Amino acid sequence: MKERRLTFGGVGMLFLPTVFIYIFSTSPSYEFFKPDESQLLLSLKKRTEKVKVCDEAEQEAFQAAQANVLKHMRTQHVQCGSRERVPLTVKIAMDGKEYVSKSIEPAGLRSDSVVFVFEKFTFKSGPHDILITMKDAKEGPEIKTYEFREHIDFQPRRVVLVTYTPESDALHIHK
Amino acid sequence: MQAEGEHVKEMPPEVAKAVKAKKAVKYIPWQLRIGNYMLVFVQEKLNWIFTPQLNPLYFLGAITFLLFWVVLASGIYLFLFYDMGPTRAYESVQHITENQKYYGGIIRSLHRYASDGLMIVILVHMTQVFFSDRFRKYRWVAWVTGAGIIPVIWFEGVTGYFLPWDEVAQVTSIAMSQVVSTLPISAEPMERLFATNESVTALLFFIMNYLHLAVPCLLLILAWIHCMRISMPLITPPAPITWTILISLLVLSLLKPAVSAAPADLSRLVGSVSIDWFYLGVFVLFDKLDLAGGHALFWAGVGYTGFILLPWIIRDPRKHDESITHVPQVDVKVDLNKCKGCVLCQQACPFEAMLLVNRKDGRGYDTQAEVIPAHCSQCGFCVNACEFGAVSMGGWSKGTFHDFVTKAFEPVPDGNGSNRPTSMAFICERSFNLEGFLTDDCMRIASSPDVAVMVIPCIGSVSPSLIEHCYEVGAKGVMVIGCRGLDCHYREERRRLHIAKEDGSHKFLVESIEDNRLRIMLVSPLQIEKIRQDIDEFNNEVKAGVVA
Repeated sequence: MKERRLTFGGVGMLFLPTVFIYIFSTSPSYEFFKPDESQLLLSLKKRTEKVKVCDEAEQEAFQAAQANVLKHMRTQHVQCGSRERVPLTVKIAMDGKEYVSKSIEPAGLRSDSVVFVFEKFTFKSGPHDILITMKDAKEGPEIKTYEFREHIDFQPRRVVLVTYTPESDALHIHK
Repeated sequence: MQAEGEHVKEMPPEVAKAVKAKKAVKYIPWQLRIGNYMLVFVQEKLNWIFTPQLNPLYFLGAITFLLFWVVLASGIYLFLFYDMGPTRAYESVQHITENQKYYGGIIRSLHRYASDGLMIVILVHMTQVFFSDRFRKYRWVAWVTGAGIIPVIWFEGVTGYFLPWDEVAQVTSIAMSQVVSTLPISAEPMERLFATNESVTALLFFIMNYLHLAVPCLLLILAWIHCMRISMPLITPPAPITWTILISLLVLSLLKPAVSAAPADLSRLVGSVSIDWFYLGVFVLFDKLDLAGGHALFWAGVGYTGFILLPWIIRDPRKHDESITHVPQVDVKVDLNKCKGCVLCQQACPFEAMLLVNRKDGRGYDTQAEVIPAHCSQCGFCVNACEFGAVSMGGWSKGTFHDFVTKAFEPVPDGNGSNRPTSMAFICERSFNLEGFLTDDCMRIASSPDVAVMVIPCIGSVSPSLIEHCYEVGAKGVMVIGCRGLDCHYREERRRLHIAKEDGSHKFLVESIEDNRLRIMLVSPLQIEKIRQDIDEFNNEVKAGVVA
């Protein structure tokens, strides 16, 4: 059996992976977005209407039942029948062209939680007309439609976030 | 149990059949053969450069451990100075990098570059294990845990790149959140976490930081399972390799200190940024191919599952009873009438397949040996290790080996008198391609007909008493021909030969054997002609009485 030895060639070979690391730990750079690109984000959560709205008789029955419940255990919201909520319809259009149109289901196994919306799209920077409409997918005169219409001059590499807050009950640009 | 010597009378038919057909039984599955040949070629070249004792390809698992310790130690130092929070995180990392330039900065660089090295070494290790066919059967646990370690290390790297909260962290976390959002684990898209600068809270940094600290614990558990079926796993590379790697990392850290990119700002898109391709290259792939959706993840999952299941997808080309060795490779059995419950077989086993359990048959020994068939590689180490002939494989025990040698040295009358062999050669079936190497009856070497031969699963099973028995029955010299370096399929061959000489253990090839009559040849499978020449040369020396 030969003696073990580490020659200069061997040391050089052991340095090879280091050269590999030297190069590929930072190079080549990657351009995730071009300098003339901007992005529009729509990120929000909203509680939609219930599928079934309680009628007067049900409301009275519910209130009567609440009287028998300990005070600190009573609920603020009237409950009757299914807790399921309707989906939320979201449409995003830019310069008159519709890019997103979808109906988003509420979260939860019974579809009784809030609707989470996260949409983004990237486009060339510059002035654009943005129209975002959002409504509970249940038809009827009482359903409120939210509309966001703005002419925005998108600066290069700028991300504009449109969101919704229950306090303002409207879509607006996040400052 | 069959009587000793019974198997010696007739050659296993498949051996003769294979050799007569001039076609050695293949033990490497066809899917791996080209890769296996390339691997052997590279190993051979590196053996020439480094010598087999220092060939880094034989220590990839141990180098992985070394790099892991570097990452862990440097990570503990960085943790001491790291501050959680969107602005404080960036500032604290900048503080380490710039204000502690010649210690903290270097440690940060070591942390990053050792992590990169870890990924490279693990991938090479896995490729080597795959093409050397060391991932199937009794090795499946090591394969599955090794395959599990890769994504865990990758995830560890990704959480590490989040912590400085620079532009690299920004693209990494957004890309990662896109991927996670496609999984049905949370109703709220994780991408919302990175919608604004305000939504990235100190709590998120707390979670990521402790995730980054917890994953190494998981890695250690996986590494433990990875090695648990291997007796005496190699987890420390030789000192020259260790020092060269550490110095090379240090030089790299001095030449190119790791730095942060510009601070993250979620209100702006990240343009061109330097990324670590070893960990973040996959996100570039996602970006290029627009693969962040669920389909990509699904197919990646299918591919990864297939990768894990490779030990069961790639089948053994040999049937259970098909072997080129004289010793049938079948299940090992323990004869309790002979077993004394000593530790010899357990010590010999390279895969923890021999257990010593409490005595069940009422004999006066505390323990008895028990085989775990699923762990057993059928290497035959335990068979010859047992001094009492209690362990057998296909009916072959220590005594059968001796009988085989006795039979080989019985004079066989021919037209010119006796053609009794002069030397005995024990050849590992995997050390090189035996096609056309043996005579038709598989009892002699074709190019040196006065060398008797015994083909065995691994030369690690050749015991001193077997060699001494060769001398007793008239062999003037003994050759033990096996794999070079750590090429041994069962890992232990070289170590067993080596340890034997260093610690004087009576079990293995001891100093008491007259060295000049014993020739250990650790050969390259690419130099069959040289093997022939070496055998011939040694045999001529034996005949000429040069060795005695």
